[in-house]
Amino acid sequence: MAEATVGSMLDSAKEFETVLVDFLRDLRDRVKNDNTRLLTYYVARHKRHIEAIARMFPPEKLEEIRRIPLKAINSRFISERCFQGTYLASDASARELLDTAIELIDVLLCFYEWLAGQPAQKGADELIDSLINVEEKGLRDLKNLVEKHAF
Amino acid sequence: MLRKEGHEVDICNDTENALECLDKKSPDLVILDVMFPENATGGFDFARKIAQFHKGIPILMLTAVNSHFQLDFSAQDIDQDWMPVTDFMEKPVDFDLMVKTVKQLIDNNSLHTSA
Repeated sequence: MAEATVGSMLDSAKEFETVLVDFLRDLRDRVKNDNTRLLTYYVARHKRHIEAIARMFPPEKLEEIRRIPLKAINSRFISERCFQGTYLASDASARELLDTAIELIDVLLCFYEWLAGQPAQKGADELIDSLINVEEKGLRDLKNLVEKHAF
Repeated sequence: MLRKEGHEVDICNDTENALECLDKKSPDLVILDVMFPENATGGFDFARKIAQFHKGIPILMLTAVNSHFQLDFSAQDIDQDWMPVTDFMEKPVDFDLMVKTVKQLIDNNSLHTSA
């Protein structure tokens, strides 16, 4: 089995983001409810998070961080498995999409928290903490929309 | 305002009409609203159509969507896949700034096209 590194785990997270955006694109193109469609555009901005955080680091520093070995592989975090059973019908409401997005982003956040808890990740703290912060904010924003009955 | 600045302006109130207009003319710029009366994401959807069938026409997106839903859409959300627009302006629009932006986008595009 290939050695787990911060980089390989970030690639898994990136794959998760790609699957999330594919899920949203499919929903965007078939959903009938306008507000739900508007929310697909909003949630799709998640795809930028990893790249935006990565850009905060000089390329050589980022490469160094990516090569940091981890003591374990998180085998539960496989995009296919995370999205298993996640489907929204074409008449899905904005609330249904918000609830689904909250669940999915929570899975990603748990993964980052697991990554942050790896004893061998010294040096990657800043990167992982930034990812946690951006996802926590995203989650807070989505929950605010639910609480305020914005849709 | 734009006419006063010497621009020729066509106004279309629905996407069907706008598509026909784009097929007939090749405008230097499209100014789009996000929310259409018949579709809350009409502007985003239409921008993707323009990018697909009329590549190279700059799009200035005007939006009041954030005051309706607090979704913070901005120029940061511009991307070729989801929001292939050239610039974003929040409503209510500062007309002087809009005129300046329109000129800038047209100039940049003609520089880019002639290069």
